[in-house]
Amino acid sequence: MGKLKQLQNIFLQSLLEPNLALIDAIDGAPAEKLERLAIYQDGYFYRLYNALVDNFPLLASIMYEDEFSQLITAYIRNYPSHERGLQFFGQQLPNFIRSYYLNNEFLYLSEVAALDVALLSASLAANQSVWQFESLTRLTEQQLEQLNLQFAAHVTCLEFKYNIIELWSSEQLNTLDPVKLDSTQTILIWRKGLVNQYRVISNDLEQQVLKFVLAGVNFNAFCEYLNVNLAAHEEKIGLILQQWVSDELLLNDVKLTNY
Amino acid sequence: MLPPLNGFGLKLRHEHYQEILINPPQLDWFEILSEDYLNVGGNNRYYLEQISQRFPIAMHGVSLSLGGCDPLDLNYLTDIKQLARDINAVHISDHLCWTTHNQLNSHDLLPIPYTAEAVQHIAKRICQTQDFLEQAILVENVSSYLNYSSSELSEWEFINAMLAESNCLLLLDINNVYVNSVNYGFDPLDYIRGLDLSKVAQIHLAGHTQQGKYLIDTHDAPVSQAVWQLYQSTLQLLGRVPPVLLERDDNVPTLAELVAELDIARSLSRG
Repeated sequence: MGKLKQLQNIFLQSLLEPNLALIDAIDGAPAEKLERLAIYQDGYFYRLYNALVDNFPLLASIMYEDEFSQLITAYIRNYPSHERGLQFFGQQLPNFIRSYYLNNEFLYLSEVAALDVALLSASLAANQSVWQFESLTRLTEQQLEQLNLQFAAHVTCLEFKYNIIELWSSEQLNTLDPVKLDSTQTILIWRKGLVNQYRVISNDLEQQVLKFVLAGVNFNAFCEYLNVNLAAHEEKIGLILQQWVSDELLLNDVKLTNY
Repeated sequence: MLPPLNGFGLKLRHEHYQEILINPPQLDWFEILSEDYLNVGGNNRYYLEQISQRFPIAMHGVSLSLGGCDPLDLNYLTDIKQLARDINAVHISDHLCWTTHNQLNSHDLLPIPYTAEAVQHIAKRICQTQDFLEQAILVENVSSYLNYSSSELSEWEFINAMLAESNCLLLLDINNVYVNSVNYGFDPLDYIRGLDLSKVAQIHLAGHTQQGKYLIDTHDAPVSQAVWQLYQSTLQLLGRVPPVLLERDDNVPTLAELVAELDIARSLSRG
């Protein structure tokens, strides 16, 4: 296996940062060896490039073609794929954008990329059991106390400093200018049934509850927090949770056999 | 023993999901790219479950990396096994290649040197895979664009040795044989005649693209005339018709056009 491992190491390196280290291992005339290796080097690059074009439609449409091309080319060189499928390639692009552009005026691109990732994630996330009103009513008091309040895998919460939702909602993404908002905008993106949904969370109370749930708590701790800090808003919080159940946001990790 | 699979199938494409359910096409089975459906929900999973209730499904993967040197990915195999159970998959297949190294995924079917060392290495990994999945797998010959100076065997000699050592079955891709015959300058019938044809459990057909003096396995065009001829000759040499699949991954036409192309495969199989 030693020779095979060494060969594969050289081969992969010649794809990640195109070089000619593999040439001696290839059969054929010198010029032909270069052509044959180039088929793999080009194939590697364009497969990942096309995946990023597919996975980041909003980012691609808001950027000039050559700028987008330079950005994703740099990403491919910096973040080789560990993903099983190409549909998941590019998860680190929002982070990469923040380091790629030294000028802060391009930070909105990171938020657009994060929106692309969230929408793709909502579409592809594995099916999970979510709380329905009917299943919640069947819980015992003890189960209710131990209930974890957490979002299902298809739910993403984003915070935007720019008018990304306004840009996204416009018919032509590149007809509006990005504008920094006066305050951060919180967005929930999720899948209900087979259709992606989103909602701007403008209610302060809902934002507060959202942060609490994102921190990972059980229902008991949530109720304690509620009694101490938000007792006056109990009814409104009940409505928020009802909305979340109706939107199929909350993961049901209680085994059915416990009923 | 594999569950029975017969007749002519198409690779399942998301472009055709709704049409398949509304107006089921005249074909016998579908193949899926396993990676499109592993740990995935939403549309893909919904339509796969619906379609798997009406058609047999064969699973075809690209991530086993049978020729690779990283340990076999048990999480991946666990997911494959679970999906196969969920949809009652009839075949599980992958490729004679390596795809990952040091946990990096090339997302390509990279060639292996045809050496005795590689036969032993791959056969061992196929056996481990089959033990884990509790069923025989099919391994597909791949298109390739370079051969190694260290190769000691022809591709078909290597495949025969792999089949003998591992007891797996062969998914014979006729287009890949033809592509390699042009890229390396051999007679594709020598390749087919040289194979242990008793191990052929499925046939793949697809289109390719000319790039300079090489053929590239792009799956973006109809099956070429040369590949149809090789398919006919292969069936004559086989003396039987294994399950046959038509693949299209790019420039995907309407379902009706693909079914019409599949009908060519069906009519040629009648001799």
